[in-house]
Amino acid sequence: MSAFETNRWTGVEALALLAGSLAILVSPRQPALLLAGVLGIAYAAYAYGGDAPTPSVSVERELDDPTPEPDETVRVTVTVRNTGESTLPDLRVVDGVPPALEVTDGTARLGTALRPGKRARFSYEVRAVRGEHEWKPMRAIVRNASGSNERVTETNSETVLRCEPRLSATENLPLRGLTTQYAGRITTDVAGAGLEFTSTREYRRGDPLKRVDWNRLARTGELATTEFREERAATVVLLVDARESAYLAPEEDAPNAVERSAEAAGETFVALLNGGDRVGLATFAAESLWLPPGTGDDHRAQGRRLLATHPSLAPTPPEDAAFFPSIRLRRLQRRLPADAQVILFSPLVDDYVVTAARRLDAHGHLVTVVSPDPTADETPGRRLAGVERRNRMSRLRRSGIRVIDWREESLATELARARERWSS
Amino acid sequence: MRTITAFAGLTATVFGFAVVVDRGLAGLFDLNYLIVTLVGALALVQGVRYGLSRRKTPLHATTTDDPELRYHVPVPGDEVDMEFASERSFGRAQKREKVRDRLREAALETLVGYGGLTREEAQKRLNEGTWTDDALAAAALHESPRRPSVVTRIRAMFRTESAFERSARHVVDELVAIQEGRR
Repeated sequence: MSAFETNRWTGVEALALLAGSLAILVSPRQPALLLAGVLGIAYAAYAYGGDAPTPSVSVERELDDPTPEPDETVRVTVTVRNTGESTLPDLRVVDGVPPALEVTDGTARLGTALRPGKRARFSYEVRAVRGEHEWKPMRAIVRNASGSNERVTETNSETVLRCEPRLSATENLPLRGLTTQYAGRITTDVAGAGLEFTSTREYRRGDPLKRVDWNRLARTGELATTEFREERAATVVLLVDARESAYLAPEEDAPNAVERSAEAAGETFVALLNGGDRVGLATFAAESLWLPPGTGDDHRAQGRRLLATHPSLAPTPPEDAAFFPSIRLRRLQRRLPADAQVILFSPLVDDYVVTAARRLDAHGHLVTVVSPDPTADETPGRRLAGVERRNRMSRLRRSGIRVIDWREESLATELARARERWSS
Repeated sequence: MRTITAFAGLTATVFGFAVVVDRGLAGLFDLNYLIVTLVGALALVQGVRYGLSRRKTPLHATTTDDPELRYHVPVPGDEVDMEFASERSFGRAQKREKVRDRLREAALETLVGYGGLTREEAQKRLNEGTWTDDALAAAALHESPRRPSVVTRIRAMFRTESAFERSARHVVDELVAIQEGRR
């Protein structure tokens, strides 16, 4: 970038002129003052002496742990080297810390002077959050010795911090009664083998002996078979609302709704896989994520990696990406297996998700909504947003969709509360 | 003016160099009191001019943002507050109308979802102003609200909050109360 004047020394000539004029005008005349004026001339010459040198610096970053766990602090050591020919008398660098990371100790900038070939080092600590974080270019600002002229440049070296949470299972999410033909943990209304007794019926040839109602045989002499509710596995798709408008938080430092949704989706993913269900992943975002429902260790590892590092679930909103709501919804409907139920993670801050949830539900993919609450209540506007959100939840509930309003407590607590409400 | 001063300066400089070459030229001016004082006064004027020019010149420096801070996402509802706050802005009437529509829609849905009314009943209550005991909130969503009494209007003059903001706040508070089952 071209150099520009900082105007730091504007008016320094006045020093020489005023001293000179006073030396003449004051009676008797003061030769000493005239000499002092020379100092002013020297300063003026110093101020306009030369442009800022063209900086040529290289940067190297070192992370003490490039793949930390969430909430761990990572020390970043940055080495800046002057690779040019000229001395940089006034060099200031500001590092391009990824927007989702917060510097907890030290500062990501340095002011120094560097001779050719020399290097300077500084370090700071960041707190890791879920996601793949790439450093942005470092800005280097160079001035000449007097600071009257300035130049800016950028330099970078690829540095990535990858933080994949080790997913732990949450309290089992109560699923709805749409199941596959495989055995699992959801109690269905289908009579057969299981744990919960439903009825007895007449014995048919081929019924297992252990299900014969022996008491009844002893009492009446009739052969009867006991029937239980069959327990089956479900196919579940976890759908995360990660549109730009879903990036909301009740406070500046609180995790935003998309971060909370992704965290909840991770816990649910593991819990459902542990329970023997087939689980898939999808997002409502500009960049689409689709992992078809599946089971097994490979599937689990793949899901974990996608939830941690897929760009559509990044902790900060995408910069320039268009989202086409109706196209995206139709594509999702085409992809969903017929027997899949959907768990939608969304802060419910606009009507689109409500419509989408209702449409999916109407097409037979029973929907459960887990909604992290991003609303605050300090001002009338914020309270109004809260009112509208509760209205949306009530609209969903009226159309038979289960909604979990997830406030500050852990997801497990909210799930336990919801389970109590639904079973009563 | 600029060209004249530039020309004068250039002439003086050329003359100065000429004196260096031919010392005899310096004799054209007598170094008497008047000339020297004149030069001093000129220097004073120029000195003050240069000194004052600093006041008008903006300082330039590259501003850097704060990469240390975490990216901040908005809080839901803050876009409405801006509309509440921008009191005397252009297009205020349309903005207020938008906020009012939003409040009305929220009220309708709340009455339907939490009050157990049908949409028509809720609409009727809003139009008649019978959905709440709070007169201010009722008037805010009324189709043709009654003109407030003189006392009310005089009182409003002594409040920092505008009448619109106040009634909007009342409506929101009423809706929260209905949703929380306090009404």
